Amino acid sequence: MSDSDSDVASSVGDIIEETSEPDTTTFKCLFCEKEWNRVPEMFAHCQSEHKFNVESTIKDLGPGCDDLTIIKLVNYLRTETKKGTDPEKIDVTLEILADDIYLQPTFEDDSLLFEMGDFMPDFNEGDKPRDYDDYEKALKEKVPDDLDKIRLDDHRDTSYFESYKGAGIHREMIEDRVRTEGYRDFIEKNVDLFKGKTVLDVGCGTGILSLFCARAGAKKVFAVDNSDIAVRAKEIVKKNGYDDRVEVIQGKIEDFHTQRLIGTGKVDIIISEWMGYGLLFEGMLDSVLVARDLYLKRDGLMVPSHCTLRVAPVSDSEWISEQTGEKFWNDVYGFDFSPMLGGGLLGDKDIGVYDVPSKAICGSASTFYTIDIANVTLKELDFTAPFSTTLEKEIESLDAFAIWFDTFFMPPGSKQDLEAGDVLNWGKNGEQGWAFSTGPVGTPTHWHQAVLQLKKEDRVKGLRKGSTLKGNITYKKERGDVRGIVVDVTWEGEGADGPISGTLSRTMA
Amino acid sequence: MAHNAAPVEANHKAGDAISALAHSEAHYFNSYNHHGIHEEMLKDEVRTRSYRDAIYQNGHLFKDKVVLDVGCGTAILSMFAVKAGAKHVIGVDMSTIIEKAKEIVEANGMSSKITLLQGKMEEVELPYPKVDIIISEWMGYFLLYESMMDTVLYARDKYLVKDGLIFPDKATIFMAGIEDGEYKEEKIGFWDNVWGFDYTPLKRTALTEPLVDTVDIKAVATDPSAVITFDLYTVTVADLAFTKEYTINVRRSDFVHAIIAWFDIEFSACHKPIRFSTGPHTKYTHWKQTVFYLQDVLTVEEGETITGVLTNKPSEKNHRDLDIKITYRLNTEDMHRQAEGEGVYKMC
Repeated sequence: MSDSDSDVASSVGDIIEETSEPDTTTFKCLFCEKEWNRVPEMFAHCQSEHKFNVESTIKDLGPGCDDLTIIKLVNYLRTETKKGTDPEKIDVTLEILADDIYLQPTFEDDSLLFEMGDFMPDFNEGDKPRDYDDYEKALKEKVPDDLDKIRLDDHRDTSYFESYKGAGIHREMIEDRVRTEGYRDFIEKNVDLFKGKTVLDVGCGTGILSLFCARAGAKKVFAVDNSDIAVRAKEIVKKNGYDDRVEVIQGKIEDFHTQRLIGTGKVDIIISEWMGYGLLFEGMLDSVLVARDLYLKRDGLMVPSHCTLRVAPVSDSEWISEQTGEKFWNDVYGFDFSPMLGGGLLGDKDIGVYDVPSKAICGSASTFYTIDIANVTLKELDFTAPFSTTLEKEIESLDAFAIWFDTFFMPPGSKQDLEAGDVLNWGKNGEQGWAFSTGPVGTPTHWHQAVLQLKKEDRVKGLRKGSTLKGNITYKKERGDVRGIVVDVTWEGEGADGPISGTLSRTMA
Repeated sequence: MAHNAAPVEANHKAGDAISALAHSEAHYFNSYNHHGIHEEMLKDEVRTRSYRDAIYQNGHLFKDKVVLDVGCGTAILSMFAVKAGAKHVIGVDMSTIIEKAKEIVEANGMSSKITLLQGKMEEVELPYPKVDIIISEWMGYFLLYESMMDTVLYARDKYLVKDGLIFPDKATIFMAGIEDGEYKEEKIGFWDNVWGFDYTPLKRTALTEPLVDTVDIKAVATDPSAVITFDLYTVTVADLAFTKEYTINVRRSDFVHAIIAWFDIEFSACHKPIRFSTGPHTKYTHWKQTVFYLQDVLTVEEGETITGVLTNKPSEKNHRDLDIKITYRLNTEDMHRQAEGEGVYKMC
């Protein structure tokens, strides 16, 4: 490796992805340039401005009109509009829409094609449940072989997905026993939840979670990953004889192609290992929430179901100076490199990722945020929440905050108090479901802990055992980089020489 | 989690959870902790001392000269050059590390002697139209992976005076065969049974990923074989894609599970030539060695040879990635042990 890390700097641009927040998506009217973000409003506009009643047109097509027909209808109407045909004069019949040419989007990135559910109100309601096998059979008959070619593609974040395709990183994740066994144990202890169910695995990687679900008796598992690893996942699934039940789909969760294969409102369970450093780094939960809103049946199960974020104070100046390389930078081959200090491995700007030794933790862990994955909204992933910790020993100085998360797998309808159980010994005292921790006590995981170091001048002198440190923690997305996060901490407490307080802001990008 | 995947790194002899952690750490810091990289490189004594000695011991070459430091990073080489008597040093780097480098140069009272520019070599404007000496630490894993040699060659062609000097100016890639049964089994065999599932499709992927790792000299069963030398005064960017035949002489009877590669670097302009090696026979460097596992296991006897062709070219899809092909043939009279094959690898 060379002295320059220019490649690192330049790759940053590649991983910026447009946010996929559903409510900000807009699409064009079927007949004019006007942009809309809600389908019913556009329908009303089509009726009043263009004298075209979309709903009655669909109704008139009769029972032979399915979701594929709707997609074709949109493309057909757009094609006709492009030709300049007056909306009132467009002839809509099932015969015309039988032509597969209308599976081809009329224009690229047509967001309206992502809103199919709104065209068929009963599609989402569940009062007309469809048998999955019929649905799949129908799809197989109707989907042309070259459907891949009409996939709406997006190359913006290729490098993020590409980095996941090698064997090394997957091995690292599979070998993280706390992680993999956490998922496996929940599935194997709760086979009744999976038996005969339809499951969606978001970001399936090598497919290990899909295989666990299939082995537990799931009727059908959709395993979706945008990385090239999907190709290997497919082979692995086949090799293990589960290819009749596990369908690997290479693509993004919100892709037209993916939606076509899964259908909306269809799955009973969504399973995903989406957690990043500090829980939310990389923002993969966003995709899981999109998947939830698109595909999960009402009252469907999210696996895992909850994550809690916890914080604890750190006091261990020796450990910190080891991590910052203080000694090293003061004399490099006779030169003064001290400007490198404070921006080093554990800096005043970045969030570091470390296995914090438990002796460095000097106060109680405080749960400051709980994410109920079945109900949380995208907006709630940017938040400010209070914390309160009690010092467990007398400390010389407060040096840093360590943040980690615990992951919970609760069965449907569980009333389990997540706070009440011991995450490291979950189930031993009759707690429901399953859980694992990524905290400083217990087996290290590949997530380690997120460490936010205080500036040297902010290190508070002399805090007494038993005193309380209170404050707020803010999580927000890094501007212009949906995968990055900014974490702010404010705190106040009672120091040996009167009240103390401070703030810090650190990023992971 | 990493965006910018580095080649898989692991501690060769501790193939357990610890290596997984070390790996993840490396991944994390390689991807987005800039300072970690600089600390690692500066702490690489073989590297930094060789540059320091090559520069300090040749004050007569540097005195009153204009020097260009390509990919200067924290500017350590630039400061070496100033101490050796250079009239002025220009350091160029694309990374934001240049801001730190400016502070460091200031802290060491060299701001008037060193001009630091952030940007691409092709785009920055140098304060001098020509330079007398180019210094650069451009080498990557396997010499050429994510290397900046092409940037050095651009700087040479545009800025170096006739008869100007390049530090270093020679780089040679070596290959050898190693016995590595235990680790190969650990690394590749892992995929046979993953939580009760057959994961063998990933075996193929694992075999195509060269491993950057330290190899114990005891594992080396052959003599080293020099495959290709780049002379920085004459090499062109086109030469970085190459196909070269090689012959490796077997030193002892053993199994060969992998071919390894490393490189040596030479500063031949020096009064007393200075060179360093990144091979398994000498002190650790952060470049370690690159391990290419073979599909077969070769059973070799002393005195036999392994011959074949090493092909390297930048990947068409992403020119930072390398497509490497190694064909091999064990030349033996024993027909039961005769073997030949080819391995296709990608460094990305």
